[in-house]
Amino acid sequence: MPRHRTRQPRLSPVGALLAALGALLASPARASFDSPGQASFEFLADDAATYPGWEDLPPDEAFLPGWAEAYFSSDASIFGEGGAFVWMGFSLEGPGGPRSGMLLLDLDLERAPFDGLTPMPAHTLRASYLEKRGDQVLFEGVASLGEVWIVDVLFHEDDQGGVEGDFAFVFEGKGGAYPGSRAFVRGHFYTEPSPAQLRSKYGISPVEPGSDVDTYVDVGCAGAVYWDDEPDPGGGCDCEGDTSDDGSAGSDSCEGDSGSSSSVDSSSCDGGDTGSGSSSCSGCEGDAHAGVAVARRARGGPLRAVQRWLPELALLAGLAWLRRRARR
Amino acid sequence: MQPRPILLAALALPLALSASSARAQGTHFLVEPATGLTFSHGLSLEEAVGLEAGATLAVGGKWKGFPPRFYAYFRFTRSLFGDEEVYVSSRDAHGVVNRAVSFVTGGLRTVIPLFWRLRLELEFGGGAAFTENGYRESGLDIRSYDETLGVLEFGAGLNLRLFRWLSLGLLYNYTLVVEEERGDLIAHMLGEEGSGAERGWSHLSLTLGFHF
Repeated sequence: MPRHRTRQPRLSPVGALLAALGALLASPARASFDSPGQASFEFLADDAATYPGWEDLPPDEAFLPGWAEAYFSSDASIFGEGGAFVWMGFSLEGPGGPRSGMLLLDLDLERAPFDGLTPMPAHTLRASYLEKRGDQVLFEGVASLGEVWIVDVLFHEDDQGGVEGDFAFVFEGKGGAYPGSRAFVRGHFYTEPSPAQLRSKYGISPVEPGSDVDTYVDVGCAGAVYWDDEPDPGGGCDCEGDTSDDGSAGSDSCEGDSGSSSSVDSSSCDGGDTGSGSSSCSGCEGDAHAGVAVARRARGGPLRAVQRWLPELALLAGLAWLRRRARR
Repeated sequence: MQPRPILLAALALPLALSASSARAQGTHFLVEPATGLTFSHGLSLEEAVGLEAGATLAVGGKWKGFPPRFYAYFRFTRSLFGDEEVYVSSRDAHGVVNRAVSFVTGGLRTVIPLFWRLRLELEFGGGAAFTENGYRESGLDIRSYDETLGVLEFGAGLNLRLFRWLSLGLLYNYTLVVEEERGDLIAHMLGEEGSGAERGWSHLSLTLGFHF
């Protein structure tokens, strides 16, 4: 599959320098997701009945619509960089007053199907549910039934990824300590920004419904964005100023850029390469020249003159002060 | 009438810059252990005052005829915030947050002689912050997680060069996260203002510098 590239606005030289300095030490242990989000679902709390199968659930009328704020974190996932721990918190009414519910999922997204139709294999997800009033635990559930379908996912080298999926769960009391069950059906979660918003931001074409495609995004090379279905899209192109474009990219372009293609091969990209066509990697020479010009101006500016003559000025001022003092 | 304060200020600055007793004494290397307090910013529910310890290694010198000295420095600092109980008003619940941060930074330090043995230190650098985050609450089992964040730091302080080989200083540093962050899991769970998306740390530390 050809590797596609899209382009984002370039960093300023100072920004690139600072980013490079930060990235130098901060590059390891990056994750894909670290993002707030939302979830919606239909919920049933039953303190008496349990449901051994999906077909045993009561009719739709028994369920109440619910909404939860969510947070997605790869750092907190037991599955690591390719996983996402999902915290969903919501309020609900129950006997004795309001309660808070927390649905906790841990998803191994690197081993998940992404067509939105095939559920994630059981070994690629963890789920638990907690219901509390204040500090009192009212229900602690383990999943007896559960399905998660990933609709769209965008992995990112630097925590800026997004994921969207559907879910359904039935929880029973942990260790028999809590009677009854809790059921979530027609659940839907997504990060904010959603994968669709990120695709639009990065200029990546939207995923077709039902297609099993995940995308890995790598922002590097002075702000250029690379994406691929393999987890190292930036590996073949480390040149500074790389700005190769694909046909669907936006109007952003670096000065002096001459490379453009609708299907770009990233197999080679040496610094300064300015070719166009299917193996292009233009070097943004205009920007490089601007950076040099700024540096030259700084070296010849007033600050340099002050630096040069400051000791002499200080000496003269000191002598003047001593002379004045001696006259008194 | 002569603008005496302005004249005095104009004289004082170059005199201060050329004060020989406050100039560095020809050493080029610095090993500077430090300890102090770290204040975490961007987390509204956590008071987050931590203890820190670390050390700076630096190498530098001065240009002939120009009083300030310049050092390239490398610093490692670890800040511990310990267990802190927080109240989550949205759920009327209590939890305990435990955070620690290690900073690995490098940059440029400028040392400007003021008067006598007193010197002004200015710093600018960048690097990484390695955070360790834990949270526990009745019934809630959240796995501790680590994050690596790119940071910039700015610092200023006063330094007293007691001997040729020894100096004592008080340094204030501000470290800010330079990469785009959407939030922090624990901060979001607790409903903290801004969800921990704009984090930073202030450091106030006592330094003991060994010059050679």
